[in-house]
Amino acid sequence: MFSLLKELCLLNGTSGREDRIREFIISKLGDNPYTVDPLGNLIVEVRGKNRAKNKVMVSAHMDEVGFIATYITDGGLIKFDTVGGILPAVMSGRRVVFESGAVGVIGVRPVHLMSEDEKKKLLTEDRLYIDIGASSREEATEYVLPGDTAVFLGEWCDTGDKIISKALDDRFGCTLMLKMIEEIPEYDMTFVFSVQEEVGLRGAGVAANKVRPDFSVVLEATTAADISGVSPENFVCVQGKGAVISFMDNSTIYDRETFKKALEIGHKEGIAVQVKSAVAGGNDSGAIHKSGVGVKSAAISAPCRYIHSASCVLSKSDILSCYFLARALTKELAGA
Amino acid sequence: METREILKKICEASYGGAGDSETKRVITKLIQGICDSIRTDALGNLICTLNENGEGNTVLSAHMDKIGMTVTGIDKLTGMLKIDRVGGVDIRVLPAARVKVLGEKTLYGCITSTPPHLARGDKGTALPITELYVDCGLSYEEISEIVSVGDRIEYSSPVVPLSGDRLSGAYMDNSAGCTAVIKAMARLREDGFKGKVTAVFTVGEETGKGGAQTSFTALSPDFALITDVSFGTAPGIPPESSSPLSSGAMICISPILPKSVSDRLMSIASENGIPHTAEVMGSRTMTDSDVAVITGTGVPTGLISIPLLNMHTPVETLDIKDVEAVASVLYFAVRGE
Repeated sequence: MFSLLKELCLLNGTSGREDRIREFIISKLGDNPYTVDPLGNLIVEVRGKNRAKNKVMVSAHMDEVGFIATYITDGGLIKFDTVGGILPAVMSGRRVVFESGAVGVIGVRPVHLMSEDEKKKLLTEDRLYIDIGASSREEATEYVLPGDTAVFLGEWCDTGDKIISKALDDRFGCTLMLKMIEEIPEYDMTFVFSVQEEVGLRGAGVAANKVRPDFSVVLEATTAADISGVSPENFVCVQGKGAVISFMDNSTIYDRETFKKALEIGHKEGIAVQVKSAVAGGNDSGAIHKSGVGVKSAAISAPCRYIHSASCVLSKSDILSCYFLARALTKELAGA
Repeated sequence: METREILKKICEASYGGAGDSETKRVITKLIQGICDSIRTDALGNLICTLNENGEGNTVLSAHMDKIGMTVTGIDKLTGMLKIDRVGGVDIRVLPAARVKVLGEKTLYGCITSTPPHLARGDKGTALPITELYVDCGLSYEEISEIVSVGDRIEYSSPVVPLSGDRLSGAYMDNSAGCTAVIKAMARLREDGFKGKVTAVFTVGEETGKGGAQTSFTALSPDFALITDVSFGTAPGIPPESSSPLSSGAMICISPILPKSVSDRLMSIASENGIPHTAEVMGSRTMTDSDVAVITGTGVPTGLISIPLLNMHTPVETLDIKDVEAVASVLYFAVRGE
């Protein structure tokens, strides 16, 4: 599972440019029939061992946060906009790679030249630029045109239980779905690899309009703030303590029965589960639960430190907990 | 009809709301000879189809609603109107602006402005709209006969030519987009184009985009192009978020719009020698396309914009050639060549 996750994380594709991720996933689908909708959502209908009583849609998003070139200066520097929410603090001084393969750095003025005030202030997007090493606009446009996108340069690091990489949000969810498909689920099930989650949950709702499920289970990475300097009541969730189940976030109030069912299954089957302890963040459920005439929704998340940066951290044990819980919960929902 | 004539007619027609309006009547008249069927839906969108039974299901769309103000009350002492905003009116430019009040009949007036001699406090801060009034020169008794709470107020600022091909006046946003759609439809008609294409003039773009939501859901197009105005380059507006006036059609590239459509529009513009620039955004475009593209099971949608200066003020300024460039891109994109 982790080698598949690594492959997926090292592919590049920000919102609206999920092509490479989608092609890779399609290559792993075997004979399962799939469709790609006008926005690029990949919808896979998997025939399970038994016919489902309820239609269950499992989803994870393919896109990752990134950057889009808006303008190239006379000197060949690239002005950009972010695609999805990235804090200026985690982009300054990072490496990025464009669709053409051109690598750039997000430059900052040397600290030596800054005033004491400047040193403490975070740079805002309008002051930052990407330097791909070109010395003129002509040279830069050989590699990058306005509208081209970039993502953090991938550097995979496995520290034992922990993985550090870009794009764990949400290639981790894609990985779990591919594993579930490969295994053949107990019941018929629809898997949606969605687009454009990071720019406002724009893909999954459209896919759900087509699938029209009874239940939705979203597999996501969620913020874990269990780090030094944060008091425990603000941790949101804790790495190593298992799959995170949400009752409410900024996008959704989750179906109470499904939420309870997920907890019960965790306890009954000995899968580590924890409840998200803050109403924060959001995921594709926000669009899915309001699609069509309404969909009962649940979200299973892996606690992710430093989400939306070049160094997201996930724990392997949490990933496995999410996998077992997703498998058990979807089986229960489809068969009940 | 000359492009600038069409634009002037739509700009100067009062809107007043999504119901029966002068703007809608003017557009209907302009497109009557071009489309086979013209209808409105529950929200007031104007939906005009050419070749109902033709192949395909393309939509060209522009919003026809206009920003403005609405009457929230009448001051008994002075007969002046209390107002609030409808859409993103730039409150900094309101004092002393000429307006028309769309009551039982249209009244002309201006917005109050404290004389500089009496102005107190912070001169650097715009007055909130709740401290501004519309003065029509009538007493409370007189104006109460004509104006009711909820009536709309719009800028009274006719279109005037500047030098060259530039024009200035209120409501280029989005009379310019409507003009481009009408021009493109007229050209398709003249050509004997056989496919089904529907021009949609939406309501509510400035106030939540409900018009695009419902009309696109109902029409479920297989291809759609939306046209609106966007930012022209000016002092304080950097080139990474604008295009100069007279530089042609602004073709939007955004993660929320299919890249294949943006690419196609860029190549259509290049192949047909239509001046254009790329307008790149990291997320939402703040136009009808934000909702249109995610209606139903997803609509392949493109956004083509006209560079505009002084947006949402009474002196919106553009180059008529840019409107024509957008009309040409729409036309060639529908013809599919």
